[in-house]
Amino acid sequence: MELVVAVVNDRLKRDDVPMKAKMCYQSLARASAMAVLVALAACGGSGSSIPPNTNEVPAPINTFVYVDTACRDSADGFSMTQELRVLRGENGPLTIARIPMVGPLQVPVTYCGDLALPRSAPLFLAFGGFQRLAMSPVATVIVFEVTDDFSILGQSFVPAEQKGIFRIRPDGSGLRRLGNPSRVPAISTGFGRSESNFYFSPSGRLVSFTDIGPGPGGEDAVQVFVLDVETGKRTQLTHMPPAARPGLDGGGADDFLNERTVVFDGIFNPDGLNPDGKERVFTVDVVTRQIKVESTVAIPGGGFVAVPSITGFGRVTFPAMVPGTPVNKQAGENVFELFITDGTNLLQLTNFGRSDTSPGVPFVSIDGAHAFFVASADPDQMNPSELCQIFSVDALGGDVRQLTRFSASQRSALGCVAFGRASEGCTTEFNDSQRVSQDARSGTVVFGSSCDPFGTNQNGVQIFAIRPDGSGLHALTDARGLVRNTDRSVEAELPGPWSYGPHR
Amino acid sequence: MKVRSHTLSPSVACGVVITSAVLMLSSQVHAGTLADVFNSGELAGLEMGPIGPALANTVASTYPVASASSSVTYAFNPKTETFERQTRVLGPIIGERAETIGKGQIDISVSYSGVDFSTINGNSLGDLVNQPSINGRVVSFPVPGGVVLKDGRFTNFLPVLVHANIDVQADIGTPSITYGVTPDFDVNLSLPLLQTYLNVKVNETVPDPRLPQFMLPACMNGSAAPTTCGSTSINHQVADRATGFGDLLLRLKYVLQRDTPVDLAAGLGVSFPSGNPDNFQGTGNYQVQPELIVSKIIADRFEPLLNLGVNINADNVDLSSFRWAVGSTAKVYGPLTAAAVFLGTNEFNPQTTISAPFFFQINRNDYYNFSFGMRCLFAETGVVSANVIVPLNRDGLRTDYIPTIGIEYAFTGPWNS
Repeated sequence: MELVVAVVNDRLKRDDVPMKAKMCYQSLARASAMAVLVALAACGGSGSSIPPNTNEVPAPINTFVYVDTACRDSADGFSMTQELRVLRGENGPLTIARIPMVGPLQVPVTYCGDLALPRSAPLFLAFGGFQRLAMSPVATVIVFEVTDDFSILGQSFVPAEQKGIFRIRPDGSGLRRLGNPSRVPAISTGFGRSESNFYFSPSGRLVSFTDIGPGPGGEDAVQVFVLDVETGKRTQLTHMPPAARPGLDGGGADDFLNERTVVFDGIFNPDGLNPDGKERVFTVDVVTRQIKVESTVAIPGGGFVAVPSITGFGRVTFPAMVPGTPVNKQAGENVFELFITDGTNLLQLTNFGRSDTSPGVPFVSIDGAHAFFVASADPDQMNPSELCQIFSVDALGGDVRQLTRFSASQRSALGCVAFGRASEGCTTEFNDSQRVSQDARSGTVVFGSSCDPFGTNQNGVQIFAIRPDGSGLHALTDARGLVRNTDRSVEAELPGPWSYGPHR
Repeated sequence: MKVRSHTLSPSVACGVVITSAVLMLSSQVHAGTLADVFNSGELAGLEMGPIGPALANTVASTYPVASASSSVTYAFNPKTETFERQTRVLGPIIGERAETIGKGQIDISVSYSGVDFSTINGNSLGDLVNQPSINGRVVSFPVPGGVVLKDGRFTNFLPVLVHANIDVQADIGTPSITYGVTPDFDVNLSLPLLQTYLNVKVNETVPDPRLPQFMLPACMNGSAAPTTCGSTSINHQVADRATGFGDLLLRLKYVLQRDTPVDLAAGLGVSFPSGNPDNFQGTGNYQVQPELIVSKIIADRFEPLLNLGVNINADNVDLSSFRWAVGSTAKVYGPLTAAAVFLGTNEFNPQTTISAPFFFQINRNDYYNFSFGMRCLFAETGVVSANVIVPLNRDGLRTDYIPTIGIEYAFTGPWNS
């Protein structure tokens, strides 16, 4: 199968990585873009797992997949390459698919530097190429999407016949096209919303995502779909009317509750289930297509939070606004605290009084005993710089533990919302899918961060792994981040989207 | 010597079973079950619901089963052309011996056992205390509208410390009939009638003092509503009773060899799920019980016995168990016989599991018991017996002791007189 997504099989020894990566990038910078459909196998993966600077044994990992995007703004224009890489156990990174060199393209702005500045890899989805991504629950199949239909570059660089949704094994074998790419962009204009994940069903047979399909009057609108990763059969589950907001009227597809039930959210009013138009969590039955609105739980301050029922998810943890004035007003004007619920019982887990507690997606541990989240609080006087750290908390609200020890010479005013220059602080995030940030067997927690625990991530983002007790921190990626060269060219390399397995 | 024939018409013998069937139907109209007690409104939210099905799956299998071997046996004397009662030791009360009753002979018995469970996995059923939490879950008490904890966090539930007193009792009356089809082949039918009783008392302390993170602010002047400050204690009690038949048990025994050098018999039992497991009166499944029975009468005074068998759960073989018994009976004085038998049941796997075992878990259990009893012969072929089973270990659901009394009478069928 000829693909712009060139399947390669490069496994590099870890010691080789830095030099290989440097050589690769130099070759990309010299190459001409659109015509190059040749797999640059010699480039291999430039990612690497950096050992911690302590004597700790690194937290074990099973199978980690990520997109590595490297771009360059120079006088010649914008150029880019992307690779889909897999780390398995202690092996070095394996590049299993690649989009060869794009550019140099004449574009109106310095996209590479501008989008790398916030140090948030999902922004690179706007370039096009590799988009949605997911690892199956037992880490045997990777599903990924390739399209440039919504690229901000304004030029197509992926041949039409090579756009699509593909499946591949983590060892790089078994590449198969499952169908056309979604007609819903993975990241919306204005970057207000991104959907960088497919969501696997518990059996690994189906993935959910959003795509365009006919609404109740036959008009095109964003809908929830499932795709059978064995047969490629695509099934439209909803028939929503066109919405004003991007995506699924501001929401999107989410994880499966169980093999038959997909969760999605938004403010629409399917079948009259949400007449007041509040943001709700819905479920749709894969077989009957019946839509249900999930229960809501009252939270302090008079608000309600919609949560899936106890079946499937068990419990969910989420940040919610509570009354009060935050102690760190610079990061936001409202106090956010972490809550956990099973659909009936609701418990506030934190009481930091800060505005930036868990701005991303927190999750409940595999064993249900803890919740993991990010915050810039300093409950144990171990975070004087108020950087965005990973915390765990007992699911019953006690035993708050700071797992990471990121440090900086100066205090971060923006804490966990420091998307910007390194001098403003750094951010830490889990995967947008609550399920894939923890290894179901070892308990290893995987996350992305622009913090710099090893002095190798001064202006970028890396994906890290850490044990749930806070030991064994190590980097799974070795992206260069944002680099401004003396010739005024700008280079950036960021990892993401990413996924991990096993997660069930 | 010709033994006086004590006959009972077959229609009377059958009447025991027919009456049993009628009563069994009447027990099925009982609305609600004992297992439902744990889901009653008074106990709602205490995570006791799974206990009902767990008990239903385990209680009945722990009930004692009286021996199918007739205490009195007959042998045909070709010289006198009559059946003569054997004047050796009486049979065991619990456990089996290889001897058969004799062709055309009938033995009818009724026994009563009183079962009062006292421990589960060694813990007293009289004071079961819930686990503070299991994987982040607690036994919770809802607080509509929510409450602010002492440390300033909000919650709409509070964890509960539960002290539960679970009283499970069963009075078991078992009519049984044994018939000698051939000199070497016995058939036994038993159908227990049970009255089961469940009484659950709970004391709740809200919030659970073992979880200090849920501590409430101190109450001021006693004006605050319960469960919004300080600590609250709540008591509940729910009880129910049920009457019905247990599992119908058909047992066959065939003597393979006699006195060479021991008596050896093969047994086969089939248990029919006629008892309602949710009322703790039956196992809820068919069970097949092949068994090897070895015994030997020594000096007409002692009779050691060894039983080795498997209780095969026909619905789920994984839930089967290995059963054994070893012991002896001995003539003590005159018509008095003593029986002492060690009993064992070794389960292949747990009979069930509780997903959130706040109070106890059902494990794979090994049951070891000691049975001791006395039998006394009266009116030539009548036997009264008294027995007690005491546990030798505390695996699973156990009593402190199980008393059993019984009376049986053997006679020659009318077709042999």
